Amino acid sequence: MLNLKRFFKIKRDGQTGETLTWFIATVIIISILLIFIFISNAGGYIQDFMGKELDYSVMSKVRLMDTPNSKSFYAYTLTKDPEGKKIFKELSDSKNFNEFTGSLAKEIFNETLIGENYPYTWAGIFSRNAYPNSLKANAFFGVLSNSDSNKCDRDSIYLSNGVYFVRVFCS
Amino acid sequence: MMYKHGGKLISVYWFFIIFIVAAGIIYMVLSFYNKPYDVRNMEVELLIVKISDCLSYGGYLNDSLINSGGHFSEEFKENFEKICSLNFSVEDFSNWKENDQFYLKIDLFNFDIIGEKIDSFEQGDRGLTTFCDLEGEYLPVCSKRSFYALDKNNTKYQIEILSIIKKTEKNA
Repeated sequence: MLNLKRFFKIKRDGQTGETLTWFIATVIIISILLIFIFISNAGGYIQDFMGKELDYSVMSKVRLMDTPNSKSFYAYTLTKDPEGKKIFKELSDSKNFNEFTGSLAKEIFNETLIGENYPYTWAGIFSRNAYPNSLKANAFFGVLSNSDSNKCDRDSIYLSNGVYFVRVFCS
Repeated sequence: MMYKHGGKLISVYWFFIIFIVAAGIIYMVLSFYNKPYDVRNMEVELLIVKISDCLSYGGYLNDSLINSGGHFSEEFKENFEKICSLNFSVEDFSNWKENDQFYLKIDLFNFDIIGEKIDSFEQGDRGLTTFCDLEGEYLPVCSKRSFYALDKNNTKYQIEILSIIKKTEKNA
């Protein structure tokens, strides 16, 4: 014969244990949910915590396409000297700045014109055949002293025989 | 009977949990994507890129827009947006249609004589320029860029473009 008293006692213990299990499971589920809600809420403010702006990949591409800066560079190479010779041709022939080309480069590639984002600019001749002294120092910009690729962009134009006219501008 | 009753309770519990989890996911998605992406910094830069491309291409100034004396042509002044493929129309939000959300100023300087302005062209709400020197979070975004340009007669110019975008109401 069924011992009702004993049966209900066991049943009550089982129910209590199962209820506790479900209760803890619910607490765990809700806790995990709250953690994710907090993370998704904080997502927009991570830049504030990090103290810097998010670097969107599109943003960096825009920075690389610094069109006004490149326009200055190419317009410079097309400028004619007092004798009517284009600077591109002059640089191709002499592989160095002369008084006119150097002074004009100094005037054009300065902070006022290319923007305060680039406080350092270097322009000069790069020779592929002269490694390791590929970048030639010149009287107007000296030696390239800062070429950290993370902070610098460059424009270049091929002159002749492995020689390029290069401008490096760094933030 | 007791077991069946417990089964129903568990079903109700599961529906409750599913509802809570679904509500949580919806809330997470909304809270994440509701944050505005302030792309005005990119927008002003792109505007400058578009305008500089419009004014100067292939190393020389566009002589149909800027005549030999270094002045903007009448056609350029009248049909600036169409010529440069720009569209300044904005959505109908918080009186944006009535108040210009952009300001553009293009100054043409003589490169050989520092500070000699030859011509100037502007479009949009000039009042926005007053915010450019201020520092704060909910202000219009300004950007000014200069570049060296040349016309076919070897005349040297400095072109300065100031671009401002307001749209503060959506990016506050």
